[in-house]
Amino acid sequence: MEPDTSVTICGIRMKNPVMAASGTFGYGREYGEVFDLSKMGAIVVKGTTLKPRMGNPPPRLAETPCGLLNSVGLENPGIDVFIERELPYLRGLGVPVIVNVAGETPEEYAEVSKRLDKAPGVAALEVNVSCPNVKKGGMAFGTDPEALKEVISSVRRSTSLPLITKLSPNVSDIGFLARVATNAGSDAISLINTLLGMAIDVNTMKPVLGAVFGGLSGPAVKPVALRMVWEVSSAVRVPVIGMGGITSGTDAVEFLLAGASAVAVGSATLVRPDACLEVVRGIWEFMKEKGVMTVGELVGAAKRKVDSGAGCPRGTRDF
Amino acid sequence: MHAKTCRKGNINRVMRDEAAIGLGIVKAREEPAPGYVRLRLAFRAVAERARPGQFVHVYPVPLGLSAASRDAPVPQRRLDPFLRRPFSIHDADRSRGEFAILFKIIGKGTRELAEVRVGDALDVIGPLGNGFSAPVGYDRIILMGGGIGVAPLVLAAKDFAGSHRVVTLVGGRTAHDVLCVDDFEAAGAQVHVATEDGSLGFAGQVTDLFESLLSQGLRGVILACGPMPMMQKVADISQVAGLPAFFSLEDRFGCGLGACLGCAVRVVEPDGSRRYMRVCKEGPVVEAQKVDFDGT
Repeated sequence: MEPDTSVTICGIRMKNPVMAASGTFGYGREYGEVFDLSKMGAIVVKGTTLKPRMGNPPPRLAETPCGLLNSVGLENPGIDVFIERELPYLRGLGVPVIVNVAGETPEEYAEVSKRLDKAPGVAALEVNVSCPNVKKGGMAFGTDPEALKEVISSVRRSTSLPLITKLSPNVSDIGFLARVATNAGSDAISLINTLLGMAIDVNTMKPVLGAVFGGLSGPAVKPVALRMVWEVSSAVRVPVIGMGGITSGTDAVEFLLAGASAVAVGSATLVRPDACLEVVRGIWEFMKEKGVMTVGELVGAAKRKVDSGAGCPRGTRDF
Repeated sequence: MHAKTCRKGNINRVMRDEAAIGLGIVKAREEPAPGYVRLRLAFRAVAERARPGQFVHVYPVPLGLSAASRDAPVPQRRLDPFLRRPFSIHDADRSRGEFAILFKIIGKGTRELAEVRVGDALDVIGPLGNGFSAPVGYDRIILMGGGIGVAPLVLAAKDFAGSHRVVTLVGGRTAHDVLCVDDFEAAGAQVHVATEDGSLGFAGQVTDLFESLLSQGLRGVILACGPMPMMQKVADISQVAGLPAFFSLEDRFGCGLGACLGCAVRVVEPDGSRRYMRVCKEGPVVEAQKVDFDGT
């Protein structure tokens, strides 16, 4: 018997639990020239707003230890251009397409969602209440329970598509915000978006990023992400999609063990275009080696061990 | 090393848009000046497709000799430094299947890369970006490089020497920062040198030298690469002189493929509107008058 990597999240059947994380994969075309996208679990496309957005002034990237800061600022061509020019390509890939929806007001989120509701080929919406790089909207919604409730409720009323709320890690009680989102109608939670950070160039004595602050991602944030996935999957009953610094199959398995039902790969894709497939292969090899037949057996297994009093024995991890 | 489609990550393969991804084997390493390193890499699919002005996206830590073996597993990458580094294609020997990069040691990634040894394998994607087009309407090309900006111009000199007369202006802060004069001369180009401290050639910035040569009647299409303040001056001078100019822009890239929107330069569209252009995908070569220097 070979391991079965397929999973079903919110009714979306995926060949494997690995998605491309929003913002690192554009609308898929650039990577479609590099590898066979049909082997991915799902693609979460770039955050899309009602009107086109120009994005933030450069520099927009700064490498940091084991990761990077970005302040792209939701540059995108707007929802109508997306539906007309990008969605037909994505629809033809044979992979579930999840559209990341962003906005400055609850009404904008609702309008974007309404237009996507009628567009064929969208498997789900990821509601972006966590972008740290925009002055209005974005993270402001994901860090204020009242605003979060209002945004998710209004999106819920405007579409029958499955809703995934992408939460910000820049909060003190992420489990509470996850409950607010699910109570307002979110079918799943994805996390984490980037951690707000900055870098300063000592030679110029100025901030490196044109926008001063940016979002930190990459392996540097993985321990934080993992802890938050653990907290959220304990706080809500809906599926959790875990992300933050995953670069390998074993990283992904950690997120599954912490309670994620699926994972997303983001920053690693910037380094290795087919990082998602490497992660899929790594998960498969792990399952094969451990005799795990389904992904579901892994989901939350580490929590069950703690709950059953197994404690935290000295592991076998290499040092 | 063959360029063929293959699933394994450690075997070179050609992407659908004609760039290749895989391993380049270091064939030669030299330091043309202190703090500058030139690497010659064997990677046939890259060398054969390379056009001047294009770049390769390189993970700056060598993957070791074993990685070059066809049957080796995908090598473990380090997490730090995290990102690839873009380098313009400095030279290409298509028949030997080799290309070169030239870089200045300026930070963590280039410090690591400077440590490579002959035989090391580097993870390379390329050639990427648009590259310089062979200029039409002028029989002379004026290449202008400031400091490490000469890197992409050597291949331009070689490739365009057959169809154009090539004049090269090489600028540096001091004589020690004036690179590749021999390479340009070997390509048949006429070379002018400028140093800011006057230690070699014309005393002043390369753009001052450019103005002086224009006043003596020099005309042609300008292909330039250097720091942004130099590019802005080149744009202004060439506009006044009524000469077309193209830049190869320097930037830090994320994916290098146009997906992450991390590299952005503000450009002016024909209708006067402004937008951010992806340097890696829509550039790195851009028409001088298109760059909105107020937005950089």
